[in-house]
Amino acid sequence: MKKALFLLILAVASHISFAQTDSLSTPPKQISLGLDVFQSIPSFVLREKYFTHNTLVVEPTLRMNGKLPRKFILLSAGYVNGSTTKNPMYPGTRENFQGIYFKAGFETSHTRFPLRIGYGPLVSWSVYSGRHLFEGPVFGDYRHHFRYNNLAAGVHGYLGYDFTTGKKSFIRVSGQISTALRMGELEPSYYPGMGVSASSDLIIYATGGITAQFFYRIR
Amino acid sequence: MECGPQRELTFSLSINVADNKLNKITALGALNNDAFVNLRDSITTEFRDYREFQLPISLNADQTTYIFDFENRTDTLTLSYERLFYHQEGCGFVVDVDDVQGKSTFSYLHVTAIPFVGESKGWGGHQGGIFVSAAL
Repeated sequence: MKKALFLLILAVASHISFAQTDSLSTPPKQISLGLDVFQSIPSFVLREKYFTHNTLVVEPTLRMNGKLPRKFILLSAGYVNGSTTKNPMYPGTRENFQGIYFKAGFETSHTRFPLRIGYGPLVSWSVYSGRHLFEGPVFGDYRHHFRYNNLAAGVHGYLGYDFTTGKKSFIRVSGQISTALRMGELEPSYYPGMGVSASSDLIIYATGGITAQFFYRIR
Repeated sequence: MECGPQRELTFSLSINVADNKLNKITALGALNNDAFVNLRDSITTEFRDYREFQLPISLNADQTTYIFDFENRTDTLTLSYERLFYHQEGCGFVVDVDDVQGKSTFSYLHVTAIPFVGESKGWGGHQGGIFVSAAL
């Protein structure tokens, strides 16, 4: 299991470094900087109705064109800070989490098909903490403090549509699916960069979501 | 799969009271003595001189002391234990105790503890739990 994760991380690392070597030898003509403008919103607006509560997701993305026409490389880094009360493993307990994630995307656009298609590796690390309440009607409740980590490495794929908003800017609406191998003691139900998912000891089952990103061409 | 306890634990007490009349049981540190005041509710079995009770133990301390108020005498029983709180795969958080020991003013006291959670539960047909037998 650890070996499998290590190999996966190694594969991801080598892929990214090759991509960088390529881009250094032939400098990309275009670079756009993007920022996620949707993922945080439902948790602040819907609050307790939504799976995550007051959860801030900051995800900047760099998008540059690859060596071949209609090929793009995307590099994203994300930071997540929030909470949930809906982990089915301990209902009613507020679980706080903080995490970071990195994604790379290899994207293709087609001349006859309006959607962008991309896929790539992802790595997600997070810390979860909270207090679980054991009811004690006679001697008083007991609050058990818990804290655990989770590391996941996997793949994601997406389909996106770009709405042009100006000469240098566009808004991308996209849907993503992802799956990953994981290492961690307990069972989180929210994985930064992936979203809400069930998991076994080893695998985070496929999960998905939609979002919107604002891109601005900086070069 | 049985998950194990997720709230305040109880132990079962079987006590031979001989011909003494038990008025009430109280516990030190109890926020709510209802469980003890309404002794009738706590009695699970009443057979000749034997009384059997299901009584709670504190999750907030490593020991709980009970005071037995009989018509002509008073006895104390202290159960000490190590509390275990942990996450059980597929269940959530559970509570268990280990190293359960008893000290009392009874003439006879025997404490048996079978883990509430895990493999040994159900072993040999036994349910997990803390079983205390005593005699005046």
